[in-house]
Amino acid sequence: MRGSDAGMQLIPASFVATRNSRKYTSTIFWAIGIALIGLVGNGLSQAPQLLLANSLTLLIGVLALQIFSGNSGILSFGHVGFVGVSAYTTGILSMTPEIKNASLSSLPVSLQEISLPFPVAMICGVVAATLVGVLSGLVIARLRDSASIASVGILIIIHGTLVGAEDFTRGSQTFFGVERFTSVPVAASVAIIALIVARWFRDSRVGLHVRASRDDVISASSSGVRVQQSQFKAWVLSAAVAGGMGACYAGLLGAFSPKDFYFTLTLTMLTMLIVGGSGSVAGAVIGVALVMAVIENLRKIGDSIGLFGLTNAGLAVIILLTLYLRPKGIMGFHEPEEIAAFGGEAPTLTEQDLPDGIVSASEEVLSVTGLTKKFSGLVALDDAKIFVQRGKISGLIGPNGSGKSTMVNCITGVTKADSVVINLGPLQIHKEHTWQRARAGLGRTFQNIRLFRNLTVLDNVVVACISAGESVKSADKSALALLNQVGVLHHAYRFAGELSFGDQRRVEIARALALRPSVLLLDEPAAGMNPAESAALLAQFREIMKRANAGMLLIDHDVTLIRSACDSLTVLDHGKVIAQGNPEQVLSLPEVHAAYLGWGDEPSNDD
Amino acid sequence: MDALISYLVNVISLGGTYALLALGLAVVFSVLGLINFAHGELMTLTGYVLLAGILTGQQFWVAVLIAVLACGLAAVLMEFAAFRPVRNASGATLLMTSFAVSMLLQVLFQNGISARGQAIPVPPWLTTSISIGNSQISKVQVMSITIGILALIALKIFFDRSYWGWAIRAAADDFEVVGLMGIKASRLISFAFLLSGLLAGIAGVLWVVQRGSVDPLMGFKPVLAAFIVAVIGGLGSLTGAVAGGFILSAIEIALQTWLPAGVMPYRDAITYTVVVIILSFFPNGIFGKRDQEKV
Repeated sequence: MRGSDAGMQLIPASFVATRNSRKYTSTIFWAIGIALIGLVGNGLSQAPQLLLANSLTLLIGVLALQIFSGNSGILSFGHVGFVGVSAYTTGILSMTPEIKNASLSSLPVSLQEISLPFPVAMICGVVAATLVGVLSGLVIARLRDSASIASVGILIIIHGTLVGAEDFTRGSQTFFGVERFTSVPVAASVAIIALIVARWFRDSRVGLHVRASRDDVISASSSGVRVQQSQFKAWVLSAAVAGGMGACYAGLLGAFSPKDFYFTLTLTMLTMLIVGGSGSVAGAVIGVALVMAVIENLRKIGDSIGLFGLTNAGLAVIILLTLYLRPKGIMGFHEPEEIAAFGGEAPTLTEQDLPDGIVSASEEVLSVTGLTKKFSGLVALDDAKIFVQRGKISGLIGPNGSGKSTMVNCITGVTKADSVVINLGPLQIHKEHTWQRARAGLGRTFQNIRLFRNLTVLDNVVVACISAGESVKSADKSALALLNQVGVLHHAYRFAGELSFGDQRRVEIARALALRPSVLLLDEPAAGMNPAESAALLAQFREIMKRANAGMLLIDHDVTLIRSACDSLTVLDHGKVIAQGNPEQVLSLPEVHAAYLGWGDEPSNDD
Repeated sequence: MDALISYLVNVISLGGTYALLALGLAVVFSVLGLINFAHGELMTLTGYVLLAGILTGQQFWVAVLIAVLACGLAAVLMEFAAFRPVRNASGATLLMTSFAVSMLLQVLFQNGISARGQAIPVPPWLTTSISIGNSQISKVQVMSITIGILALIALKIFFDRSYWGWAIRAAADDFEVVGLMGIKASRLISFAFLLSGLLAGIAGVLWVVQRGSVDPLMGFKPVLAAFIVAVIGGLGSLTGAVAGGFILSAIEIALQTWLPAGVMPYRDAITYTVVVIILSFFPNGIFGKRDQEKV
């Protein structure tokens, strides 16, 4: 049995009023602005029309980058490749047979005769970019540290293919004869779609999961996030949006060659993303506007004084200044509506009687046996075992380096055990991935708090609620109720990294509870607290456990806390279980004293 | 047989250069977590210094020595000027910084020197070739193989025997440990950049002498290759960097030699596809350590 929903029935009264962070206020504002530009655009003279259409086209690509790089934190150098694939596809499919005869005489006959209406060809361009995105995504999803470099590889592959496929692309020669279809209204329409897609994605289930893994991969997977799969989805979606840019770019330029889709365009788009702040859609819009203004002026100056590559130099300087002075960009990681919600009223909840948790009879909910782990010869855990019962607190103590944290990491799957059997209720979970164990009902906190620092406190908990199968909407409600339960509701819209140490711990516990765990693993939750605080925390644990109908594995150094809290106690020393059973009896054993030499039998409150 | 010999010679000479470049990248990555795009511009700089040396009438080997030393110094200055302000930033920030520095240097070379390639007057004795069996090997290649192998051996001794070599290996394993051992981070970082610059310098000399010219964008492409090399070897792994260099060179030269003419234009695309597929089977690189983040 999974934990019941007891304690999650609260529906916050002022919920609707304060749920600002998920509104699309600024996005709607941008969209209206772009729509207006689209409407008046055609009345302008040619030069400003081109500038506007160009800026809007670039905006589409920067939004594509935002979807992947902004949310995942992995810089991509490969997206310009998708732009190229889509541009060539759109071009080939939309050209008339007469033009193809002149410019692409060696094109296969079947393609020679095709001449699709431009918008249809654009859709085909997006499809082509998406397909290439799926293929490359299969690799990118498996990588983390080296993903950026692999994306450079992907750019080189696409570039090499465009140059090599002479029959289709004229190789490195200029590909010409594409209809100049991309007027300002066309670019504006596609940009508005991209804007809405990017904003929607950011607060979608996958988007929240990707952002969680950007901040901390390990605690994300411990919160049930399927990191690789979310990363893959973000990559493919952003490839599709980049395809949108490519389709527009083909109709904007009319003639282009593979070098137009290489490092110069990459530099331009990354600069825009970074200046505005990669973490938000608003940042992408602001970045494009600012950087375009600078580039245009530099181009004019460069032309007049005959300096080579002045725009590239300008872009490089802008990047360096941004990274030195304001590394997160102008908007940082936040949408304006998030910042507004942060300043707004704290949410409150209507008081309701909490339904009592139903504590079932002492049922073994977690059993870990035969746990062995060696680190290059050194035995960290040797045939260790531990058991947790529903509604009971099982303690784990041991001197530093005795293997306590390794044990938690092996149970949650963060570290791979050499051999172990883990039963969580009726499920055998030791072959599962970390995220699967989390979803099966294993909630944990970390010794050195690992929150998603750039997410709001609310979203930290929402990430885990989503893993437990909730929609974003219902996750918002459950998360607020959980934050109330641990006493940090008033911080819901603050960013997790800003909270005090103690409050961060509370958020971590709320996040673990959001998985509806049948077992909570708490790694030194009372570290840094005074006796009064840890006593209060303990009372809170008992209450939480009762409501969640879960068992608890509590690791701590504080013998007083352990003695008063635990229903059973396990002592580890040099990776071996040296005592297990009733806390009083265990603590009076001579071998336990020996292991704790220096601690003495006087209860101590160190740390 | 002859085809095989000439294949091996080509693989070793190109692989040696890639290995030197990738090692330079790996050394810096070990201490800073930075993947340095601007490594290629250090190579280009070496080429220009070498050219200046020869044009001002220095002896060839003297010019080479000056060029390599200048490159080492330039790397230290680069760290000081460009990377120090973002030292503790995320990998993405560091990567982006180096990308910007690389682009900036390219523009500087284009405007300060010339956008066009400059021929390097290689001494005449280097332009002849010697024969092994029936195959001809150019002396430039012989030099490139000899220097490449000597440099790798010297590095091996350096990493195994010297204090600083040991410190860098320790840093590659776990940077925090180095702090605990009482080595000043700033000094180790400067040293890593010096070493990385010297390696880029040697690779730069080999590269320039083989092509016979130097141009502002010259360093960009081999460093992209070295990136990939460092990644398939395992980011930050020194053995991996060397192995990766020879793996990439073996693939590249094999395709160049035996690919049918019809598919030849796709050579780069195929090379990198192979590499990316290797990477998808070894996400941490072939010699990379499994992620063991302390939790």
